[in-house]
Amino acid sequence: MDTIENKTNKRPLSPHLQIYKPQITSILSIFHRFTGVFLAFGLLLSVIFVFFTAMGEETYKWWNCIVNSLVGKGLLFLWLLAIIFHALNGVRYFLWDNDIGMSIPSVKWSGLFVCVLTLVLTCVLGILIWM
Amino acid sequence: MKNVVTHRKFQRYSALAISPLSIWIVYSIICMKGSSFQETYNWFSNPFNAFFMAAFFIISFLHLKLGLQIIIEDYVHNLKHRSLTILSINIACYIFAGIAIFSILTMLF
Amino acid sequence: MVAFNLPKNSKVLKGNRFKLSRDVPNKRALEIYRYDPDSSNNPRVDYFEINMHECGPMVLDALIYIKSQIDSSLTFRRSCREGVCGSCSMNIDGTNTLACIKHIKDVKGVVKIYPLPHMKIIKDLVPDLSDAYKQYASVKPWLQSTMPSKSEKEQLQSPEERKEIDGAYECILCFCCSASCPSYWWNGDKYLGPAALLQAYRWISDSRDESSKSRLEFLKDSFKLYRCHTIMNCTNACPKGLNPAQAISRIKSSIANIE
Ligand code: SF4
Ligand code: SF4
Ligand code: FES
Repeated sequence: MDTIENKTNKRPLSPHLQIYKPQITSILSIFHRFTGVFLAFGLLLSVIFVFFTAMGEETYKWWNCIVNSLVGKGLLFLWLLAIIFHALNGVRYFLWDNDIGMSIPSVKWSGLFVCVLTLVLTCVLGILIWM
Repeated sequence: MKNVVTHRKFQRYSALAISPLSIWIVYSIICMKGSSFQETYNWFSNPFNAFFMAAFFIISFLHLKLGLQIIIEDYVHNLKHRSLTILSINIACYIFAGIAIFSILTMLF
Repeated sequence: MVAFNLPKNSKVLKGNRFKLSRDVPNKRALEIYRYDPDSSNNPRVDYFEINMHECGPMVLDALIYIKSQIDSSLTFRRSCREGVCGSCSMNIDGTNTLACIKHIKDVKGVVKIYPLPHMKIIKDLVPDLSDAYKQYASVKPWLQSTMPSKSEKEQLQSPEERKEIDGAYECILCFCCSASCPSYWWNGDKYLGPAALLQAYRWISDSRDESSKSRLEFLKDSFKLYRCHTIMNCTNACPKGLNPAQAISRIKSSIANIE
């Protein structure tokens, strides 16, 4: 039966993520989240590192092998990128909380600035660590 | 944390506290590159380093726990699953923070 | 878990094609989301070509042209056709806006038209906004004051006090902002959304209103207000150039201050 209730329940959901044009606003926001989760895993790994160091030379060396491998270096580089982005973008949230920089031009400008600064800082620090 | 306003405050304050600590940690990583086991161990047994390392871990785990709670609340709609996930994250945070402190203390003494 | 994919009955299929002959010089193509509640079919996207010599400059003009010349079953809301009634809000070229003030020439290529995102669709471009209206009503969008009963005169407001509600009272409740907010997509049943919150702010900052405290108390809720993570899609979308994200952030500061 096509009662009103039946029709209401049958109503389809309009497309959302599928059609919305990527906005720099939402992309940076999701990236903030993403780097946050990534850093959470990084924090677990660094706990393991401290633990292995405390357990003595054997475990430390074992760990060092992983860190000096290509995968280890790659992860450390991503960790650097993530922590720098998360910290710099965090500054934007502090400013917004104090009602600073909330117009669309400043939001876009500060977002771009954070991205560029993140890349530059990551490269500089990466060079300092591995050169 | 039940009260949203306190939750927010703690999230912001912990962020403020982590920033200088992480700059110090990245600086330490650069200084200690290529160091031997003994050098690393000695670095940890310095009370100054041990204290700030411990502070970094405790505050980071607090910030992590608060941040993940928001994400879980956003995406997990089933109330039972939600509180279960948040609870297990909290427990994991305490365990890992505990391991970190324990390790730092072993090297200190 | 939140569903990032569309449910089975909402997957969009290919629809009809209405093409013009090759030698029409000034034509534009549009893709329009269609859903017919009287059939059991999934929603579909129809393709139309129109002759721009016969059609006005705005997207709404194109919709009206298609309805009168090509397919009279095309359904959409409109009234003022000058951006003051808020009826014709929809997703055009990937962002939410008002069809009546969006120029066709500002869109490159095929003009893609969908209803407001993540809404229950009644027909074609017409979403069910009853939840959004209920959320609007929940912030009690009216003046709460005991003054008028006591005094015979009107309540005065200084120019400065009046300025406080600039950028908030102009809202036309088109819900472009709420329907652009990912937080509202995932938690729209509990999060009030930027449109309702901007109106809450409008009354909180009105000097004549006497219940700002209870209004703030009402909003002090992990879901009603604090699902806003300052993503800023709302402000980016508002066709009236208002800033709901800023209003929400100010509400948060006010709540932090009364704690
Ligand atoms: S700022 Fe808040 S209301 Fe606006 S889009 Fe973001 S989460 Fe939604
Ligand atoms: S704030 Fe802007 S986008 Fe949101 S409902 Fe009002 S006019 Fe529409
Ligand atoms: S028809 Fe009134 S806002 Fe578009």
